[in-house]
Amino acid sequence: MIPRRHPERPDAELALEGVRHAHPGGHEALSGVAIRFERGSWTGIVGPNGAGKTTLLSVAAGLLRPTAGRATLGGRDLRRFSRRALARRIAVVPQRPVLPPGFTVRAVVAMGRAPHLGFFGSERAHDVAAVDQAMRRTEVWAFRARTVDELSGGEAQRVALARALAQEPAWLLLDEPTTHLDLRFQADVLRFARQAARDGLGVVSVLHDLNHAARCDRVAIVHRGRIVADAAPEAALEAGRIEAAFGTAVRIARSDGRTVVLPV
Amino acid sequence: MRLGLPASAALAASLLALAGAVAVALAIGSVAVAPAEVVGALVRGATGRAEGALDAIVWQVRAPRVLGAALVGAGLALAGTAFQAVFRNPLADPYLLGAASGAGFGAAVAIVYGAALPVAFGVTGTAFVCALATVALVVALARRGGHLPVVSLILAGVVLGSSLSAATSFVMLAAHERTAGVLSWLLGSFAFVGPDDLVRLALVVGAALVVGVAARRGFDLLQAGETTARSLGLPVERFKWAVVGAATAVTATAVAAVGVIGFVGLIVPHAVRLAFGPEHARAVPLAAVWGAAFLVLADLTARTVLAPAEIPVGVVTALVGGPFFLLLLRRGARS
Repeated sequence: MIPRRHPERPDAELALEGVRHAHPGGHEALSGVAIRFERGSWTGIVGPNGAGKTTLLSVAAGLLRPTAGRATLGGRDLRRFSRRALARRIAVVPQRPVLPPGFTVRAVVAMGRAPHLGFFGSERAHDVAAVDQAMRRTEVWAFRARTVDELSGGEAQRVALARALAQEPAWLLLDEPTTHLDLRFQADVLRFARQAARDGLGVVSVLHDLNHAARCDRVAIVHRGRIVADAAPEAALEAGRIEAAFGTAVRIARSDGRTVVLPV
Repeated sequence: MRLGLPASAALAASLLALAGAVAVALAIGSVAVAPAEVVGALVRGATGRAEGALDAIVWQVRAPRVLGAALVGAGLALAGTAFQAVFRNPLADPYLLGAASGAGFGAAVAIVYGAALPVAFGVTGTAFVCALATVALVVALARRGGHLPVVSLILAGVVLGSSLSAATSFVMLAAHERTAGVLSWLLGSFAFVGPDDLVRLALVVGAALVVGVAARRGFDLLQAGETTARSLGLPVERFKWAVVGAATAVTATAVAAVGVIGFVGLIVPHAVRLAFGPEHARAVPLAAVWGAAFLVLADLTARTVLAPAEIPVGVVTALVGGPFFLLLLRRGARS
C-alpha cells in the first residue's frame, strides 16, 4: 500500500523521488532528483543548457517514465493514473508547441477539453465557457477564428498556454514560457503564472532568464542532472552557486526587494 | 479554398450531393429510366411488389451495384481518413500497410490455383485472409517493444507490398491463360457484388463510421504530435493499435468484395479536409459521404463510357483521381 499524504486532496502535492533518467543513447539526463511541488506555489527551474530541466518537467508531467525512482501525485505513482485522469490534473506547455496546421485557434484551445469529454459527448456550456475564458485570459480571443498557420511564434505560444488553461488543471507545467515572447507578453505570462499560483494551482516553470526566476516563490537550480539549490529566490540565486552551475561570473543586486542577476 | 460552411449545412449539402449521385446512377445505363420511375421502382422493390423489366433493372441490377459502390467508397474514405490522421501523413492511404497487395496475392492464388488449394475460401475469403495476414505481418515487423513507430510501419508496408505485388505478377504470368481474370479482379469491379457482400459491407462500414466518429477527437489531438496528444489525455499507443485494426478490417472487407480500387482513400479525405477544414468532427462523416458519392459516380462512368463494354472502376478512379489530386495540391499550395 502506498501511503496517501493528502487523502482529502489527492492531487495536493507533485513529487519526484530518487528520479534518474537515462536517454536511449546512455547519457544520463537526471541523476537522482528529489523535489516536491506544492499547490498555490510557483517554482522556477533554472540551470545551464542540457542540465536536465526539460527532462525533469517531462517526468513530473508523466510524459517520460524515469529509469529509476518515481513521480507521484498526492503520493500515488503517476503510472497508476490513466492518461485522461492525468490530463485533467496536469497541463503542460511545451518549449516549442506544435499546433496542427489548418486548425482554427479556437479548435486548438478546445483540445484542452478533450480529457473532460467522452467518446460521443460534445461540448457543453461549461466546456464552452472554459475555452472562452482561457482565450480571453491569454489574449488570443481577438484572433480565435484565424487558423494557426497565420500566427507568429509568440501568438502560437499563447494559444498553447490557452489550451493548457482550458484543461482546468490543478498543475501548470511550463517549459520556457517566455522564450518566444516580446517584453510585454513576457511580463504578462509571468503575471499570469503568479495569478495562477494565487488561484491555487501548482505552477512549475523552466525559465531561461534568472531574473524571471527571481519572481517565483521558489527556485531550483539544476546542474548536471542534480538539484544543487532549492530555496526561496534570494537564497537560491546566490553568486557562488550560479557561477558553479553556469560557469560564468555574476553579480547579485537588489531592486525593489527583488533579486537581480547581472552578468559580469 | 475552404468553404467555411457551418457543420450541419456542410453535412446536409453533402448528403444531398450523394442522393443526387445515387439517383443519376440508378437512372442511367443501357436502358434509361426516368427519375420518377426510379423512385417508383425503389419503393415497389423495397416493399416486395417489383414488377416488369424496368423494376428489375433498377431494383435487381443497378441498386445492389450502386449500394455496393457507396459502401465501399465510404469505407475506403473512412479508412484513408483514419490512416492519414494517425500517421500524420497526407500520403497515407488504406493500402499503405499492404492490405491491397496481400488481398491481390490471395485473389490471384485463388483464381489460378483455386481447385488445387487444401482449404477452399473462394476468391473473396482468400483475399480477406491474405489482406489481414499481410497487415499483421507488417505490424509485427514494424513493432518496437510495444510501440508502433510510424516510419518503420510505412517502410515495412511498402517493402512487403512490393514483394507481394511481384509474387502476384509471377503467379499471373505463370498461368497466362488466367491472367485476364486476375487482372480484372485486381483493378476492381462492382459487377459481381452479391447480397452476402452487401450485408457484410453494410455492417463493417457502419461500424467503421461509429468508430471514426468516436475517434474524431483523438485524430485531432494526434495532429499536434504524439507527446502533446498524450499530455491532453490520449493513450496514444492503444489508440493507434485500435485505429489500425479497425481501418484494416474495413479495407480488407472492401478489397475482398470488389478488388483493389485505388485513389478513393487517398483523395477523398484530402478534398474533404481542404473544402471543409481539418477538424475531424466534420472530416470523418463528410469523408464517408463524399467517398460514397465519388465511387458511385466512378462506377457509373466505368459502366457507361465504353458501353456495352465495361472498364475496371479502378481505372476510372485513377484517371480522375490523379489530376484532381494534383489540382488540389496546387490550390492548397496557393491559398
